[in-house]
Amino acid sequence: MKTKSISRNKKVRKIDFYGLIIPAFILTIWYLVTANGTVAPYLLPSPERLGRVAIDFALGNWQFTPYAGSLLEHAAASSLRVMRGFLLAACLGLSLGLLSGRFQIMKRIFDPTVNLIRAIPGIGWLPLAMVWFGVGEKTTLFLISLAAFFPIFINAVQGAANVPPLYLRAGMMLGANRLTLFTTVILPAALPSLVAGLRLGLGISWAYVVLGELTGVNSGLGAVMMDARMLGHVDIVMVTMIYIAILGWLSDRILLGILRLCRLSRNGEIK
Amino acid sequence: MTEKIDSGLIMDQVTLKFSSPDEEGELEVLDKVSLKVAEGEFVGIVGPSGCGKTTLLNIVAGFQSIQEGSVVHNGLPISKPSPERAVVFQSAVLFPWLSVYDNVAYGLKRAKVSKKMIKSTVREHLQMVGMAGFENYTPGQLSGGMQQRVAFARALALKPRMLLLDEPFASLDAQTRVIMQELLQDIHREYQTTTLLVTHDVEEALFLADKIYVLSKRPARVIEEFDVPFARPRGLTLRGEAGFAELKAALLKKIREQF
Repeated sequence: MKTKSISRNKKVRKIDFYGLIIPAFILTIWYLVTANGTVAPYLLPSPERLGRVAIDFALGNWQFTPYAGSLLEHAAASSLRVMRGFLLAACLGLSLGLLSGRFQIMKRIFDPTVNLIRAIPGIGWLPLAMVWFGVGEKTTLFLISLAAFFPIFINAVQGAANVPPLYLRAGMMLGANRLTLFTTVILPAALPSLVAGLRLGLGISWAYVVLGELTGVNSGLGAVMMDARMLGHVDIVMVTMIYIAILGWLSDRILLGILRLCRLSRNGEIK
Repeated sequence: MTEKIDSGLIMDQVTLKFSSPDEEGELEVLDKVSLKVAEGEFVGIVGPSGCGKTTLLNIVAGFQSIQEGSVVHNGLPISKPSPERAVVFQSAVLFPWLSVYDNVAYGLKRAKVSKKMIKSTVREHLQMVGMAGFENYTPGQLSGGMQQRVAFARALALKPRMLLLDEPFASLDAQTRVIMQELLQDIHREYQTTTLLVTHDVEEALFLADKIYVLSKRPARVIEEFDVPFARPRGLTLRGEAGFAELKAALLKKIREQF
């Protein structure tokens, strides 16, 4: 069959050089102002130094900082928190969202409360969370779950509510019962929305893990960041920022990979 | 004819009103509509656009409940959709996340048919509608006519007692439409599935149906019921014959009088 060549047109990655203009410009300026001492190293380390510290932070080969070689430990701690918080948010957000999207009564029960709570910025929960859960692990988990819940929930509601009625009729006419109609029509039809919500939620999880860790836990990239700031290691602060960005991107890829795997293994029918 | 109808479809004095939010009171859609479709018969329903033809089909399909009257299929009142009454909609309404094969297999899987049986049934029906070899395509890769062929295969694979067609060729181009009409005639000759076709195309109804009901404008009443006299199989040349043109003109006049 020719189907493969049609359905999977390969993504040809072309680097657009126009997009590199601004980064190259910034890098040059950065290099110049740090090379001639216009900006002190304790405010802004040179690009080269930053690169070396990044490698040292990961491998510990030069021992530039007290944090040398500890990347894996902290990245693992942060990732674990993100995973736990995100999973909790995903479970609650998807189930309540799908229910609210399909049943008017559920929507009427949940919608007003969700919107009310959503009006409070996630960061605004921090002091209260610290009072309730203490400084550290539980507070971080609470903040992540709370913040990631909303995009997952809202997208799930929308996805489930917007399934074209004709798909439902077609499914019923072909013999689907309430359960199979949900698993074979509503879920796949809503999937793009669900995925969008999950990706947004995961991104927010990374934002809030940093917030939670800044408040004083022993491990995690946010904790390293805060600690390094107090010890005057701006280089480590910046390196940590970069690693958080990389981890966020990586986790998004992994999430997409998992979702794609689920789809392919079931001929697109999600069970 | 009436004596032999115990099986088949009997619609008796069906009245349907929608409560309308913008107008005061109710919107009357169907007014005491009665019709019969005998087992194996091909019945066409024509009428002015917006008269409630599709609503009538939705009632038979079980998508729409009624307030007055009764609809009985093979002795049982219709209360919900069932694979016994397969529907082909105006657009194909294939599931875009499934391949052509899985779309046709969908109803069979719901009926818990064995994998082997599904495979041969899907093959057979894709062959019949001329879509063999497209199993792995997704609906998005097919033209409108091809999608509608798959929709027919999907409906027929369930071996329904009745086939409900809601303007199934209205969104196709003129050429494809004629080809599909002939395909449908072939299918009906082979399977003898009881068929109810709703259409605004008088020519289509005359070409395909054994019997035609003409509906009035809303609220729809049956204003005419007549048997189509042409012998089967009907070929392309039928459309050029004088008798065909006469009947078509008479029917169109009936419908136009409604405005």
